[in-house]
Amino acid sequence: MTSYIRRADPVRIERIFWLIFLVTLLAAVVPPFYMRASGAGGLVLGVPLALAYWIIDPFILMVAMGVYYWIEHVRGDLDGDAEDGPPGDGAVGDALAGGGGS
Amino acid sequence: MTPSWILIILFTLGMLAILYLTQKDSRSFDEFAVGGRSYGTWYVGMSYAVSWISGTYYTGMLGLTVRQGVFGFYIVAFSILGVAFMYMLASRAWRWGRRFDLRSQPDLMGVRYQSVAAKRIASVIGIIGIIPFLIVCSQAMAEVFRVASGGHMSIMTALFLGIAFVSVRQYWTIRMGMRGLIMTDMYQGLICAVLAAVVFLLMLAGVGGSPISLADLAHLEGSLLRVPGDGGHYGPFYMGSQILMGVVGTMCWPTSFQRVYTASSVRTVKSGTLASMVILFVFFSLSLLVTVAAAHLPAVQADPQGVLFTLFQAYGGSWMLGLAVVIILAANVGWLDGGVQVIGIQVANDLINGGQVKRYSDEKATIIAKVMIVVVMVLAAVGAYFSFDFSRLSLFVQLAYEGIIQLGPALLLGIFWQRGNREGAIGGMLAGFAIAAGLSLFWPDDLPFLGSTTGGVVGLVVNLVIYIGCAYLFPHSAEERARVAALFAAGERRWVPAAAARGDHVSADMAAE
Repeated sequence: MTSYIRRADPVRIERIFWLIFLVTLLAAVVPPFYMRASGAGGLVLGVPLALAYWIIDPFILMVAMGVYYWIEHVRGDLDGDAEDGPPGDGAVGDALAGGGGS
Repeated sequence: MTPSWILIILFTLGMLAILYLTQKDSRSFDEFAVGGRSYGTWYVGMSYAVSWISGTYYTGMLGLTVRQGVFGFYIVAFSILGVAFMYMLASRAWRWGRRFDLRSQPDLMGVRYQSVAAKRIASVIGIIGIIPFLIVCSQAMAEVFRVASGGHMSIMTALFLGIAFVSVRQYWTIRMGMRGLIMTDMYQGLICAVLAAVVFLLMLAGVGGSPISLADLAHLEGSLLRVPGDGGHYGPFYMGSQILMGVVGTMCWPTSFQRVYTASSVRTVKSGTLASMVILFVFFSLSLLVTVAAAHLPAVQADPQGVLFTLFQAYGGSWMLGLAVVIILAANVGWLDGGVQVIGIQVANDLINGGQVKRYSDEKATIIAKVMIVVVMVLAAVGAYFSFDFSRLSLFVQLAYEGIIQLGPALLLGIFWQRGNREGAIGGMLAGFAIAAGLSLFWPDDLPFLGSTTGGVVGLVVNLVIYIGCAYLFPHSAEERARVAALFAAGERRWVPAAAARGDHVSADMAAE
């Protein structure tokens, strides 16, 4: 499993999680989706579906982000920044930013 | 002395003890603004979570949930969506912050667009957005002391006492900067989020004579289960618009963005973001479930905004009422601290010292930021006094959101999309803010003729069209294209500074491939 994750295309992995984000976002902002749950009184673990909808949607996203973090950890994508040394003094930033302008 | 006052004193002594034991004067601006970029997962996570939970949540948002049920749950959705979005952009935002010594959110705009104007406009919009929250938090502070006195204290006295309390706390913010903020955020967060969530969980489980339980959720009135737009006077887009504003606003609040820069690495900022997701999800879900379960209680219906006080008192008498007072106090102190701290930093770093040539040394900029903190606190107190009787303070906060989200296209697309340019960033922010403010003057809550969407969302759409349109109408010069490409290469994990400074848009990662 971990060797497969290390070999996987990072762009593809990122796109999968952007897709999950987009689906959960649409479920929360597009009326035809959330209106279907509005007023629903059936219980999900003791909570009416109308309320549970607004808990399950972010829960799915939160779990997905946890999985994404684990994948990034396995791939070693989270490390390496400490090698930068101390924070920049702004000199390189000034070079890239052109010292301001506009 | 009542239990409320005893608990307030204990809370205050605990807070001062933490500040005293961890004190370290902030003489460098980097230390003052971002705490030396040295904090780990749980400090970053809790600090970020606390930036979401103001004292007005327990009064305004829970009061709204008593009256409108499911509508209050939109904060669970938009907070997790917003923080997840922050997770996705955290790597580049943090790396730019560290590699270019960025100290504020507008600093990032300045570097991205090579524009002092973009930086200053972003800073002004951010400050305008924070001020209404500071006023509302100052008022909530007064309400806390009024409740602690058993309702015997006059509003004026309570307001004065609240401001005096915050002033004592601000002495340490001024002295220690972000370090003091992060240390006390952990303490305050443990009380206002973790401890509060434990009490809510016990209530839902029906432990110890709880006035409500999970079983109450099975018998809710039908009106509490319907979102705005499903009947009633709001159109279908109201709920979605509020969530969209919340998601975009999450990244736009300078108070939240500032926390990204305090992390010690990309790993920390990402694990910290995950930690804050867990804290916010559990806290918001439990508090809202408890509130909606209590909506049928006559005492709660009589005073929806006082639902926390009513429930805690019913659960455990005057000591639990005191705990409710301290929970709101802890949340308020955290938000006020963060708000005034960020305004001080932005005025010094972006407005006064943000031109092509720095006017003042870092040491003087730190002093300017500290003076601004005092000025902002005084202004918030004056604003709180004169608007105390304003009947729709929650609307005041909604308007702040409508303004702040106009930073969204320039900030968020600017991090992901190289083609965006300064013309689009500046034009979009100005037009979006003007439209949101103009529409809100006539339709402060929603736009009935557009399905109850809000002026802020209309401004955001225009803002986005201008940003994308300018990207194609005014393409980058070859020099600017190379500069932006090099900037994006600097957001990669392994980066070769010399190559970036030369304008080579090849990161070490890309070269390795």
